[in-house]
Amino acid sequence: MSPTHAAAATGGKRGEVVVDGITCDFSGTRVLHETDLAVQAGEFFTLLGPSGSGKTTLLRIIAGLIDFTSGSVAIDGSDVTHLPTQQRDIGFVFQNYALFPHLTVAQNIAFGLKIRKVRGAALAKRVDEMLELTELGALRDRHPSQLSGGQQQRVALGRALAQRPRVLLLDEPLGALDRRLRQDLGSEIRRIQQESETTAIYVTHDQEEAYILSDRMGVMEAGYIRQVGAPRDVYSAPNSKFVANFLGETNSFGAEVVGQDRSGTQVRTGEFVVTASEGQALAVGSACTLSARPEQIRLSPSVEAAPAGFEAVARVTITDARFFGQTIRVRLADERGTYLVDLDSAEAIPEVGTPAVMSVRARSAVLLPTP
Amino acid sequence: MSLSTTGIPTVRPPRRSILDPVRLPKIAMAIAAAGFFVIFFFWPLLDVVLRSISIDGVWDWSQPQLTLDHYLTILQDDYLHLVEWRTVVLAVNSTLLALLLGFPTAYFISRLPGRAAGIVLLLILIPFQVSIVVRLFAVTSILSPNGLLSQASQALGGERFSLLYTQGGTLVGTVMYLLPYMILILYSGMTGIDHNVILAAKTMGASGFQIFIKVFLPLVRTSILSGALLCFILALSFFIVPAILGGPQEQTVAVYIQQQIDLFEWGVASALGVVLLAATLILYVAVIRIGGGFQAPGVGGQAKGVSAEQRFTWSAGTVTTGVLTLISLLVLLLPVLIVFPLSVGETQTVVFPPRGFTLEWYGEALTTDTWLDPIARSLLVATLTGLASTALALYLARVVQTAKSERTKVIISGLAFAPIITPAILLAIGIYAVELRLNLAGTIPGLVFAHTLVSFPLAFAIVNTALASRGLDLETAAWTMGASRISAFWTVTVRGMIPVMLSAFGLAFVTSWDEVVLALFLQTGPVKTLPVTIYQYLESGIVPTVPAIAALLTLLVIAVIITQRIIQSRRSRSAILADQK
Repeated sequence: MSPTHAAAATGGKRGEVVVDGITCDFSGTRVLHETDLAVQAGEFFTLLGPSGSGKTTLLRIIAGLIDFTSGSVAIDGSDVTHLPTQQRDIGFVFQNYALFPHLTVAQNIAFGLKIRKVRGAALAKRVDEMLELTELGALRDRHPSQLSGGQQQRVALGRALAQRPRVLLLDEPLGALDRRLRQDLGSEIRRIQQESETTAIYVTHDQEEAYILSDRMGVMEAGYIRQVGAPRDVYSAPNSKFVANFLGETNSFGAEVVGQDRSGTQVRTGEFVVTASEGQALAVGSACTLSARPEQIRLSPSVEAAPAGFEAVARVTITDARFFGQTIRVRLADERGTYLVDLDSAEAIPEVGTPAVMSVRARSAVLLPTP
Repeated sequence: MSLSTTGIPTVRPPRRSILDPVRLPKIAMAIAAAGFFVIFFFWPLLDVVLRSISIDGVWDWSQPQLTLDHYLTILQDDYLHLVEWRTVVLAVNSTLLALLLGFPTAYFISRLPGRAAGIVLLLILIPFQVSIVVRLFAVTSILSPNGLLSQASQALGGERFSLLYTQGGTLVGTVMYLLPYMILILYSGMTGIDHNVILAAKTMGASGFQIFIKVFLPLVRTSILSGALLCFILALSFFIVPAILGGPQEQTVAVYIQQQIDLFEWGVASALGVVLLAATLILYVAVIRIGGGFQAPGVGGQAKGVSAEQRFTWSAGTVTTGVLTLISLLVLLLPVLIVFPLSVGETQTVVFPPRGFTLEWYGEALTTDTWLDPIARSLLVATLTGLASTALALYLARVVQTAKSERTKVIISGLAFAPIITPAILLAIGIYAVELRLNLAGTIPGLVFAHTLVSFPLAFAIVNTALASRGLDLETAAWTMGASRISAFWTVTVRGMIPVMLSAFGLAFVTSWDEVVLALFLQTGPVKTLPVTIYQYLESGIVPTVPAIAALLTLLVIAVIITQRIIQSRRSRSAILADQK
């Protein structure tokens, strides 16, 4: 039975990917350090990280496009480490799409099917299905050079999915498009992935894309996967300073653990004691960093005026305040550093130069080990 | 060579009357450029066409008499049939051989990592840049009865033989000449392919063979057609190699034309020239139609290499193409390297292996007027040609870049490339006829004009590409700061393009320095340019100073190319350093 028919026969989700201890060196530089990753069948998984973090390398290793130093890759429980790309039964969407310039849209989509000896009516039917799925029917006889970026992107997606791959690998497929188109196509990719019941592994440096698309995501830095989890969990409970800073803005305060109970961990920062969210168990007396998102902080003229449910964390001076549409972005400073707070835009814009007290929502700030 | 233009709309100064003195310099330049083209390109072509349809090959404006006799001769004469057939067979065979060797070589280089690819390309560029007469001298000494091949055969117990004045010899020489063109065109086509496209085919399950047939070949089709066309056109009207290696027995069309001109039989010679031109044009158009474009050989021949992700591996494919690459390199490098041992022999006749060791011939070559006069003349002609070509190239590129109508751009750039597509032998006899009338034949300006015609297209290509990629942004910025159009052009655009202008000058200089065919026809005095002097020794018999001069010329090319590479890599290294800061 050809792989094309296997999907129809089993009907269930497939394409579980397990990466075990992958290490990869390029001309003496280590770009991946003993990386492990498990992506469940049918899941939309995003690898998020800055450029040079090794996310594209990891994706290409799963595709079999890069030789690596040690480790293994398994798809659906079978080891594919030494299986050539051709036999891995994957779909790959390249950042620059890599459409065949000498073939039309329909021929590009038919390429993989023809290689798999799908012929005649079956071929025409599948190509039509893909054209319909990607809404490219009207453009079927165009060449790639006659298409816009968004259209090329959809051809690349249709081409990768035509032979019903077990795993769809996407390498920053929206990177070359403008912001509006990115959002539209992003949700389209998600829809097509859901309808085709394919596992998707998606590489991006854009956190918004990662939030919108993924079931789970992995944040990468310098050849390591730093944290894996659902987008909301990773955002609200980063496990390191890097993840906290990479996923949006954050405020850091040097702190010391003073106590721990069921409601959370009490830390002292400056003159104040704050309750952080439960999380990493830290010994009393150990130094750590308290990290709070700008939207979890309020300003008040004095400690006593702090809103209910908020705990004062620092006395600061307002250095800048700007209207940002949905929010008012306020920059503040004290002798330890600078901070950022997002206020509801309904509030009055604070006066620059006035002193204020920052207070953080109880149990919302997280503790990070001080490196 | 893509002729991209900026398309940035520029604000035109107010319309002025044609008679306005402010417009005089512009009009003068336009007239000079147009006049140059008319006198040294259109008039020669017209002259040849008219001669081909006149009785005795002499057109008389007062009593025009048309005749098609010369064309009928071409169609009917038995000896000419033989010459024509021989020419076509030579062109077909040499193109096929060049493709058979060039394709695997280009493929192999395109698979190599950057540094190794750069070295192999260098080994191809060096013979490419060594003057054809120098290489031709080396080939005659390899193919002669006392030459390398014959001696190797004798050492293996075979017979003493000579490939000189045979079809085989002409074929070897022609392939040696064409191979670098083929390799460079194919290489640039192959490295132009987005490697992700190949990977994409892999992810869709295509095997190596399927990828080659269904993706790789269609993507390099234009390069293959362009390379084959260029080689075929060059071979069809090739003059120097068949003239020396073929000798009188193996005349080709171009050699026959030259012989007829020597006998003042202009009629048939002109008709044959027109036929060559027509064949060239038809082929050119056909390839553009079939192949969807024509790709000229890359001027720089830069090694791109493959990225760190695609490691080079020895597979059946790379081993086979690697072996064929070695054969290509042998064909290209052997003639270049053999001049060194040949130049140090003590004997009065040039033999291989050399007997004894002496540097006396170098001393003699560099002290006698026999060589010093041609060297001085070549330097003068090439310098003047370089200056004229660069100026003309800059002017035309500027016109193309600022032209508003797309048609003007296409026409001017098409005209600029027309002289290098025209068979050299046709240009040679046409310009010779025109210069005889203008009393320019045999003079240095006469030769400089002719050389400028064939040298400036390459300079134009470089300058035009550079101008297009710079755009008019910087100049426009200078305008906003109050610079006049003229001063903005000189202080911003030209100043910034000094490296480009230098390489344009260098390219035109080298083209003129190596040029043989035009120089052979247009020099009537006793002192000739250097390549023509060597050519004449090839015809009349080699003296021991010829290999010494050949060796010096080869060393010069090697030195220039290696210096260029060092400067380039220094620059790119400092660019990388600047990036890191």
